[in-house]
Amino acid sequence: MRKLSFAALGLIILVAALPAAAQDLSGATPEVLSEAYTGTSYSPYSGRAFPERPLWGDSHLHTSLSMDAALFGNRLGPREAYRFARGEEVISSTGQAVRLARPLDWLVVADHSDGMGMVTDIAAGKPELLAYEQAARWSKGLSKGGDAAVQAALDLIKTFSQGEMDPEMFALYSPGSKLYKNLWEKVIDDAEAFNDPGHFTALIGFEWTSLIKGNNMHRVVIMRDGAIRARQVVPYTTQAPVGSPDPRDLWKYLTNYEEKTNGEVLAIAHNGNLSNGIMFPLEAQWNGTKFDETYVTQRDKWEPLYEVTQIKGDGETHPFLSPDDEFADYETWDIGNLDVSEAKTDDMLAGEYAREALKRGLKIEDKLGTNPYKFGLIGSTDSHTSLATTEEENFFGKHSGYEPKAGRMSHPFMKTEDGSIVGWQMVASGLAAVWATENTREAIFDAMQRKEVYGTTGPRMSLRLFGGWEFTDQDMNSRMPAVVGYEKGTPMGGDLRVMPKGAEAPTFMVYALRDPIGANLDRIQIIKGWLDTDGNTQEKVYNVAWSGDRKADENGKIPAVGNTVDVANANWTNTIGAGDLSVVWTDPDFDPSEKAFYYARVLEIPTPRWSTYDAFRFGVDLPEGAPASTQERAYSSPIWYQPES
Amino acid sequence: MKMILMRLLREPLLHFFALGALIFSIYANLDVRNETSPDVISISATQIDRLATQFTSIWRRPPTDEELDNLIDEYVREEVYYREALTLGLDQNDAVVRQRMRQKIEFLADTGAQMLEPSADELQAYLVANDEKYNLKPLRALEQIFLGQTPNEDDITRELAALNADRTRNTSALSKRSMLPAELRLSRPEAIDSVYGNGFFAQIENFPVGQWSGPVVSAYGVHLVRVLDSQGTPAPSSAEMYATVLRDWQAEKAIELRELDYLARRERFTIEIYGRDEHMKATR
Repeated sequence: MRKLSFAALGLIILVAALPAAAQDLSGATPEVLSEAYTGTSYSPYSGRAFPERPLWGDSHLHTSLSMDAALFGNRLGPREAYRFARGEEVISSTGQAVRLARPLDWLVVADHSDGMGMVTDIAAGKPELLAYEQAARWSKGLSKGGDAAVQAALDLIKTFSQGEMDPEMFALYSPGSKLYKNLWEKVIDDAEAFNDPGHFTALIGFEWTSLIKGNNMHRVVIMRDGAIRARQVVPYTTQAPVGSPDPRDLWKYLTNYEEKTNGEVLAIAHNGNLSNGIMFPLEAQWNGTKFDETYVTQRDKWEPLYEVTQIKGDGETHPFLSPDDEFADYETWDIGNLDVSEAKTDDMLAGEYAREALKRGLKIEDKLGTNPYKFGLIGSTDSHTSLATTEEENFFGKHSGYEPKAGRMSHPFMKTEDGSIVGWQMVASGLAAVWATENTREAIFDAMQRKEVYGTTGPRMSLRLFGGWEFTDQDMNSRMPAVVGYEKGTPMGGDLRVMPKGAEAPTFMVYALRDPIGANLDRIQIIKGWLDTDGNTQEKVYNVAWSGDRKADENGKIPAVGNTVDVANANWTNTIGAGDLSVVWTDPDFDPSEKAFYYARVLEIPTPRWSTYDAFRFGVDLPEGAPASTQERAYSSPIWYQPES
Repeated sequence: MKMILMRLLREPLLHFFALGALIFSIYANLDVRNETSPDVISISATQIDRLATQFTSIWRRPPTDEELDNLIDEYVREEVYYREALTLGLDQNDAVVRQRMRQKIEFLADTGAQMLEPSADELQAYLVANDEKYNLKPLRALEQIFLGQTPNEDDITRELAALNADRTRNTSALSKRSMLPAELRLSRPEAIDSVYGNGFFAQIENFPVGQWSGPVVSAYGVHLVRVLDSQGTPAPSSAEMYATVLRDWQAEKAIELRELDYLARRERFTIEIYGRDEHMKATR
């Protein structure tokens, strides 16, 4: 033992001595060094490395390269998607001119990897495809248009979902084929062409579309890197022999990508609300296998974010799970799974919503040592129109079949014997805000990786959340509270620093500013989830800042902010609510022995929902059940508290 | 059409092109003169060097003696077939041969375009005319002080004067708390407006650089603004722009040159077209 430690010591000395000898630090006198480190610069902005404004984007947009998007008539490819996102006017697939009120800062074109590009090629009658009977038949139908096209599309969908595609033809649009590789290179080239560091970022990505008996386990994969690395792989798919529907295989692919290219990549799960309970299980994976250390550590490693809100429903929480939360029932889709092949039951809900998953994560961490659901929150569209529209007054629908037209609200969006979702239930949501230091692939990816991000249902309100142990009201009053926020605490997505001696409870500095062209704010809430001493998860919603002089009752409930929406004219005024809200809040119920997380939810005052604009513009009645107004919201990424063990 | 032709003929680029064409035709004629008689196939030392170089570029080593002999044999075989095919007229009405011949002539024009160097003014004009393509917008970097929604007008005037008189004046005491970024790097108009609200850029566009100006009204209230840096449409002389714009400019010139070259060559022929209308009638 003694001998060994001598040897080890010798090695340490040797290793430590080598760089010094090689680098010549002999002249490092205090005089010399004091010249190098001159203290703070006169300029208050120099050397500041924290992000100053949120960068807005959509991490989940489909173009005509996605089979389903093309089948529903999307004819716009990635180039049009980028042009639209950076603020240009384009003509939609249904021939309507469309433009965003203001450009996005970044975009991820995330097309389904399975069969990518196939339907576009069939529709275009690509010669080498017409040798296949199916392709020739569908191509003929699709090119005829009208009813023949609809029949061809339906036949294609049926053939695909029943697994009766000509395997040789499908193999052309799968990893391993030259055609697929060329297609992927084209996707990359388009991203490269529109990536404009400092002004507009095109991140390279795709969607891995795992569907287990109609239950949604999709992940969007996003790369930090440019063409050189992205070209070394092709997207991962779910169809055998190359692909797999098991997330563990996706994580292997991601591991392999990083090892092979020296690049970086992450995955974002979404639409847990259509997974029928398999998105955030408590004990066993989708196939019944019990959780093990590998599963929880890999999920934690590869999936830092969750898409909490999008066109197919809001996924923060459900009234069944959060009965005490008066705002829990927001744009809820809970009739079944993705294709409504199985109806939803209450016991599935806990495995589907973000808040419950964050709580479950604490419980799993307690048992297995790692929290697999320690994710930040973003919103994105999942639009299949190549158009990232989230504005209520400018909503172009889920896919090209639901672009603006008189009947779209009452048309059944999904319908089986287990239930139906009607057109008006689509949600004009959501966006991802990223606190990145600059508008580049690297900075945006890094912010996603550290979870300094938040999601909104479409509007662009600014939202900051810092957690620490010694924030005071004074900190909130400085001109730039963020400076103090980073100095004394951790931003959203982080862990509270170790509790200092003498501290009693964590303090949170939270503030929000309305969208420059949007509605005022109703309130800021802090949502706390924790694991109590009996091992049960708990949650509580605190109103922490609100507009006007409304008084909280003994349960902390605040009267509603009011409603200025003029339904008949689809109009509203910014005469209620506040332009900005802020507070330093201390957790009044803190127990230092309990694991916990805290995130902020910001509500806007009510504004007309997209369906109200549709009713006004097309002169139709609002469908039964459609709310006339909506309180749009932002969800911050959580800050976690970990008791000292 | 004639006007355009005249203008193009005066252009220096055409002279470059003509020179290129001349060199090519001399070279082509020299090659023919090498052949002493139609029945003799003679392989020159230059030709052998070329074969060896080709081999080396593929295999990353020079050919062995045996391999070189094979190369020469194959070349002779190719030449025999080629001449026989020409004698038999097999090159006539062959779509591939015709395409290739056309391509070679077009390539001449393209090479001409690549030799052209536009003047700085010419390139700048091209850039401005195509600014949509390059997504070029003016840029501003700025610093701002938020004064709240209804600041006192006298205070604004006094503060502006004080700030501009004393560059070291502390701005943070004056400012109201705000989430708005106090400073923005070089950004495009739409990016500036998406942060401070529509119409903000228009108010600051003509502010002098380095001086506090205002008041400026945003979606949130009133601000004083100091423009820190200002850039108009970037000059094509900047290294990264230059290569891109030059390439696009040359590509456009190549198309012009091709057309011009074609028109010049076409001039030499009388073109007669018969039976078009009858055909149309018959097939309708």
